[in-house]
Amino acid sequence: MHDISLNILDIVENSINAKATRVEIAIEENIREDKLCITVADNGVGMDSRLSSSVTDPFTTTRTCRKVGLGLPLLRIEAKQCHGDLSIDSRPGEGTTVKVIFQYGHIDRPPLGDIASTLICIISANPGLDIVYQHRIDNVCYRLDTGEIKKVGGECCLKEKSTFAVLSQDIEKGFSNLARQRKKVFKQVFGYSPRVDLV
Amino acid sequence: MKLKEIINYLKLQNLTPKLDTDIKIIGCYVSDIMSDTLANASEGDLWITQQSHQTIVALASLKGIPAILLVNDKRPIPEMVKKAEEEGIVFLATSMPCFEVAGRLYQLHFSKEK
Repeated sequence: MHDISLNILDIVENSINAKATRVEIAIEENIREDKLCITVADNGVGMDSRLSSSVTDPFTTTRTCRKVGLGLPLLRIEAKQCHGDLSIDSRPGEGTTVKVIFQYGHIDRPPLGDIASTLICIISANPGLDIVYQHRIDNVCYRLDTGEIKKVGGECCLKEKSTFAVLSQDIEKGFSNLARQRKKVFKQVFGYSPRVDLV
Repeated sequence: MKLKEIINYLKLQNLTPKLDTDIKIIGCYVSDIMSDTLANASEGDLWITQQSHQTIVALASLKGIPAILLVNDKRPIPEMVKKAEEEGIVFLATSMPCFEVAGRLYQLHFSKEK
């Protein structure tokens, strides 16, 4: 896959297929420890241990009965190529948590990509789904909870265009704060400013 | 072979028209894996890839790669093209898939050598 935002979209799609009503996405950019950690946790139907251990193996499940696509095996390969790994924690009836770790500065690490558009896409296509997005760099954290938006604006506000205009602005502001913090931490750790925009 | 000859022959789109294309291309390297290009591409190579994030410009600059060709109709973000211009790296694009581009370049290269 092209970038991490598309991997997130793929995992959330799995959650939706698993009848999740709430998905929590957490991204932690730990530049000091050279780690990028992405967690997607849902409250869907979950999997038994046999199935959850087989979803990252492209050969043990057959196409006709597979509930998830090739997204997870590919993501595991990408993570391993970047000195990281992917783990799945799932219990039937409770939900599934997918955790991916990359070495942050690894030259083969895919960029985060256009997370803002991915979030808008997921939220607008699934107004019934509660999305919690949390993105942290050191002590700067951006948090978005569509459950809270619904509490303020009513159940149907996520079907209105005006809500998305406000939402886009909020995400943009949050991400520019994060970008500033990213540059600041980079300079603290490496002693110089990055030559290209780190993503 | 001159880069401008390659651009004309394959009808490539030049995203950095301000830069000089009258430069010698020694060989080509095809890879979408950064660490592979870092290890195996040579100075003076044309790098064919479909990766379109900023790291490719930084990597090309580090390796002395004078031109990057983005295949499969992949579009770089505008900041990347600006960065390439600053670094003096010619940024090319084509809708052709990698196999076709590499195949035609291979043919061209060897027909010229004879």
